[in-house]
Amino acid sequence: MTNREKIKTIKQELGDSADIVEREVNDTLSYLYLESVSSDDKISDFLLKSITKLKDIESTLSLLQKEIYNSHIEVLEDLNDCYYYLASGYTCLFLNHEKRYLVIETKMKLDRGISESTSEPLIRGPKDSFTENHAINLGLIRKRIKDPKLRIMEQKVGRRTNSKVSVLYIEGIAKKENVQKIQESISKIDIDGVFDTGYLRDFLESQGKSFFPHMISTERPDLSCQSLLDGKIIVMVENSPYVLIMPAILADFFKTSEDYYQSPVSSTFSRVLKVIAFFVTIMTPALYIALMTFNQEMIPDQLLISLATQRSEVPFPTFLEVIIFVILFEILREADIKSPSASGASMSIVGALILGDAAVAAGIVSPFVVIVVAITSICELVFTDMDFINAIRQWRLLFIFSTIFIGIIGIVVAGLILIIQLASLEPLNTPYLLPFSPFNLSGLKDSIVLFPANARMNRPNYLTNNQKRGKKT
Amino acid sequence: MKKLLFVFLCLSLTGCWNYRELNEYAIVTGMAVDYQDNQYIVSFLIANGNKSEESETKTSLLSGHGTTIYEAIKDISLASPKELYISHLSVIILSEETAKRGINNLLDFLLRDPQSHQNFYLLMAKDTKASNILSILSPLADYPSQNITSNVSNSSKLQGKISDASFNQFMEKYLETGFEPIMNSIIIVGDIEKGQTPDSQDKIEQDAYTKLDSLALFKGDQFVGWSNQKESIGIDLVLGEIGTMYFNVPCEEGYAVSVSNDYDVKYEVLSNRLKIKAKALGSLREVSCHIDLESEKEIQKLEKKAEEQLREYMVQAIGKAKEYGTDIFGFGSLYYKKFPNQYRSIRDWNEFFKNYPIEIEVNFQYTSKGTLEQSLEREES
Repeated sequence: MTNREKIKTIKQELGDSADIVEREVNDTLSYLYLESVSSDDKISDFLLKSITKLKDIESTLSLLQKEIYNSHIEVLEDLNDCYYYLASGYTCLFLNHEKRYLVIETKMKLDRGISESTSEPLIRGPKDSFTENHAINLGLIRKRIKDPKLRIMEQKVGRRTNSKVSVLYIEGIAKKENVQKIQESISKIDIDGVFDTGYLRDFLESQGKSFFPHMISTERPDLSCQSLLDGKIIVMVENSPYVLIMPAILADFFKTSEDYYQSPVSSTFSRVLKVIAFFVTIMTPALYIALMTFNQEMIPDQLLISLATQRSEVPFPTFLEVIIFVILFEILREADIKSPSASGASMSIVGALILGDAAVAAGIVSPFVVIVVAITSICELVFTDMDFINAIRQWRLLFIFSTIFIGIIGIVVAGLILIIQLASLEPLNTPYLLPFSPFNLSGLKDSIVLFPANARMNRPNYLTNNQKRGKKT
Repeated sequence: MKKLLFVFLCLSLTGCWNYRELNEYAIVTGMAVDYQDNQYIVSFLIANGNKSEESETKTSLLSGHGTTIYEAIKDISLASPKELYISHLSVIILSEETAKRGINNLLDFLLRDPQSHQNFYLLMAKDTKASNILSILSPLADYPSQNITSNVSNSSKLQGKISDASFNQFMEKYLETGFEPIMNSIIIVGDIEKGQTPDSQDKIEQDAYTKLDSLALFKGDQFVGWSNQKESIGIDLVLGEIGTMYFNVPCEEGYAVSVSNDYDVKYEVLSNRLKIKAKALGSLREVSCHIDLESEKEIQKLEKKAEEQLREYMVQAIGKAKEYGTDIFGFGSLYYKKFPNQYRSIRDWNEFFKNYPIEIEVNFQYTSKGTLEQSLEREES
């Protein structure tokens, strides 16, 4: 096939796309690339400069490979393979009457570079976060863990997107069966495209549908590396700044990477606060409804009278009042996230002043409901994992609905269902309520109470068969 | 999903059992029971939870009458636009007539009613109608009837004259063999008519206010008589239910006011008499006589006098109880525990108690003289 024919075939396949750039260098050499993903500078510096020097007769494949100033060169035979490379920013270099051809890496930089984490900010600790660039993401891990046993297993997922999905683990620490299980589930995925790790979540959740996530998603490389060292497995997707850490148990959502940078005492304190916040944010509105409409005898005298005074002007039943305000707040939050930052100020004025103050003054809600919803939403903010927060929100509504009918018994019923649900979750055969149920001593040292690092010389044994820390495997 | 549906149906098909909005309740914080013309008159003090203009809680007093307590309460609900809610009842005032008739029916109602919480105070109105007590409002209280409840709980800790008169305590004594209950009383000082108006609250000097008074003696569920101030102290001394108490020790031309803060009493039951051994530690609070407080002899003399004084209180209290023939000290209970067979052979313990000799032994010691070492009069000279 001549170069012209090859280029014609490619152009036909791509439907004469507007971003195709082709050039005939001389009689033997022609190249083609997509200017939308390729860098013109790189092509002229690292490709053109080297090939224009060559004379026609000398141009053989092996010589070209030697002469071109580029570290990423591959020899391909099948013309159908070139589309993946073209879309990835490679330039195809064709030789007349030669079946094989070269692809040379000339990617344009299409990512925003490493920036500070926005969704999981820390006070103390590294500030970098994952980006949309797969290689950079891998690099952020690799530069932290220089162990040769760090394994990066790559697969391609998505019929049309052909996205890279990498499974990272440390051989000798992570359980082999878990790695296999994850790789199997990934290879079974057959969808059009994967743009974020969120796409994989449903395929990787091993068992049962539940509100609570089976994996942590984070944009922090330091947290990912801590998890790798514990024996967890990381799943990374091209173009996604979030990675999945598997398996995750309930206690993991009360931890941050900062815990290990601070003194164990203050980390324990902040974890205890989070546990309190967890229960408060799930139960407070339900408890308020239960106390106000069923179990008034449990409210202290003085508070009861002031509550009754506040309520006297509100025409709606208590549960409606709570639901109205909870939903209003959810909408406000949704709007706040989605709105451009320019309108954020007006949003907070509307939210704080109109919803809070004016609604009370107008007698639509009682001031106490505002307090309840405020406490609830503040306590929710101590968690960073969006999936976990969503689970909390769903459970909160469940608690509210069960108390509407039978008061405090409803809280007990919903609480039982919550515990049963949590206890029955087993992401990658890891009980979700570890280390409390079943009891696990090695896990307990890093659960709610964080022991000092020198007292945690063993890895939690539910994650690994190789418990001793600090020994080379 | 099916399971979830089941759970949801289980919850929702209860039909909101026991569902009640707070707005629908009239919160009763105080109750007064009078007896007049063969009828009970029950009054409820209601914190009706409506915002008034000054955004202060308004209160109202509703009354109803009937031949039984329950009937009277149902009579009140005819006057109330909201459901009466007695879970937060904190004080019950009884009139003398009611208490004289016996309060068995009232106690039964309070224990039987599912809404009743049983952690309120029982008090007797002295020299006035019970409902009058509730109508006197105090500007110091945060909510209606709080002035009475906190007054009782504070005073019982800091005064010798007031007993911790919770309903449960009363019931405990009432139900125990060989024990008769006592009750605190409350009086109105000042002009009742004026004191009932809200203007009275705004004045610096109120037209009327309520004040705790001496103890009421009961025999079974019936009120039999009042004790005076000294006897009230004596009753608490014999019972040993004293945290901190004060008493005046006469010395020469004045008094040495002493405070006892460590008091312990022991009983020794014998078949023919009973020994009370009281031990108290105390300190001086106000000295108006010319004695040398630095001399040990003088102090010992003063201690003797104090012992005498305490003994006097107790003797008077026991005398009063014997006079009314009611064993408010629970000696019968002690006797029953020690000599159950003999106790059974006594037909009427209270009759027996009238002639049951009681010996009293008091030991008092000063542990401190306060921050002043010497009496002031002596310092001057």
